Amino acid sequence: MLETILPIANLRWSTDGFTVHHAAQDDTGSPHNIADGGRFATAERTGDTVTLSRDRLGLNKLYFAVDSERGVVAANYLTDLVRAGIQFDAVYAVPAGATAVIDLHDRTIRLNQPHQLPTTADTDTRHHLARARERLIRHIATAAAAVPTAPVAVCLSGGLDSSLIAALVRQHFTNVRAYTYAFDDHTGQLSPDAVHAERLAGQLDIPFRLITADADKILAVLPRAYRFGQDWRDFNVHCAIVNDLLAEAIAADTATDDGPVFVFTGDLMNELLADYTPVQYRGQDFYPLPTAPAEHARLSLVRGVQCGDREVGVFAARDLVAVQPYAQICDDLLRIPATTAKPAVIRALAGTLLPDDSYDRPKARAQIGSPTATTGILPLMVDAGRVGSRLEHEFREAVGVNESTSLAGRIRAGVYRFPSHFPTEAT
Amino acid sequence: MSTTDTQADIRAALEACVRDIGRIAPTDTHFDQRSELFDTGYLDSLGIVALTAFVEQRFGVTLADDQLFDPRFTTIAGIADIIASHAATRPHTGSA
Repeated sequence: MLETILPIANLRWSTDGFTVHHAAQDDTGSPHNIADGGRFATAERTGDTVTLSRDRLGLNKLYFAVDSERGVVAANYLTDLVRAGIQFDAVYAVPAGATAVIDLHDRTIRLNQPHQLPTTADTDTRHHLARARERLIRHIATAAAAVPTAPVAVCLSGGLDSSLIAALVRQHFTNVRAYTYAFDDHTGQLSPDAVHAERLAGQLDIPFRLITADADKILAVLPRAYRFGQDWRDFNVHCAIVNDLLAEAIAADTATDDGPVFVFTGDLMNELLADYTPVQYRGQDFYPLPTAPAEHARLSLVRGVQCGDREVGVFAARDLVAVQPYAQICDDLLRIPATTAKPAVIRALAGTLLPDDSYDRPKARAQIGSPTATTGILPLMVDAGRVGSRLEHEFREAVGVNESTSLAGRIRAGVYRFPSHFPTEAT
Repeated sequence: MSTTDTQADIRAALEACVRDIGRIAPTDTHFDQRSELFDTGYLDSLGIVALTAFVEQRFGVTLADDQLFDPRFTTIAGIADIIASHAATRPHTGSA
């Protein structure tokens, strides 16, 4: 009636507590409150009814199928459903912030989305920034109090988002190390981002580890990026590549440590502030944004977080627990106008934590690399022909999908498909 | 949504929006209000986002996640149906 393959830890995180649960242990009896922070995907059965729930941003993935003999089969990873014998065409996902109630006897499926994220900004930016700062600090302090000696890795790109997280984590945790990715062009030269990240780590007194990869290594991790990043769209694939390279190093460095290893990242801030710009390479546009008002474009970016698993899924595949503190202050950040400049937001959140020169640097994006040389993931992938339908093809291969089914229509406006009626067969 | 919007008004506004977003030529004789918008390539993923933004702005209707996969949400006529039937008090609940 209910089969679950949920290896990714659920994270309960509020200003009062921070606990890590694996689905098999998640038997505390108290259901996750979707309005709370943290991230989770849960599956519970009562009689003929199966209830599937997911956190508000959809950070933990929850795919499912309804099988006439097995009942509901739910999984964090698409590849696990496919390996369990589920036809890819029968796979759906619970939308972010929703509870799907499947009655196997009455053959009904109902979706409840009781808690919505803010959809409009208001004018009291100062209030929201002050509250976000206070809540961000409290959340990280709470996490540190719960697991004070846990090994903590910080993914430090050299950009503002991750710099602030590194500074906060350094203040509260004792066992911290920073990890920075850089392209290895075999000249020994570091990118300006990596140079800045190393300097910042020094200023913050965080041990620093540089993770380099050349073109061959980057292409070699592609299958993992597809399988555990759970996306075929270029930007998310490119992010998953970088994260898998970092995850491999972090996992190796902490292999002998006891207990969970936490990986703090500056992820989600770009979505929450709509801080993305399209990129041109070889005359083609990449990472395009919708033609929509700024607030709506931001909502579509945030809605899209629920598809793709470039952080949680990729790190979990190496037995690491991804922690995205900006998710905990998403309500306040979504109340700030989408046109607010990133440096102003980070400065308000950071106070005096970051050196002034952090704010003057151009935005760091490992996906793009240097404007004068092929050092980013995007140009490497484009030059290797890894674009468009080839990404789809390789994704299907990596996940184990044998059907030649098209992936078009599976994700619509940032949402993975959900059945409009009780699913009786693959459609 | 204006109380004076008729189903024809909604369809006409949607058609104008889709033609604009999808850059559909006026001479495209295959395109009409019952054309499948997505599988046929009239709208890509970014186009869907722009369309949902238009629906929200023009008609004051916020589409729930499951409504994006309502079988009607594939043609202009179907989307107009969803908008027209979208009660102002629609709870964020969908059912089989």
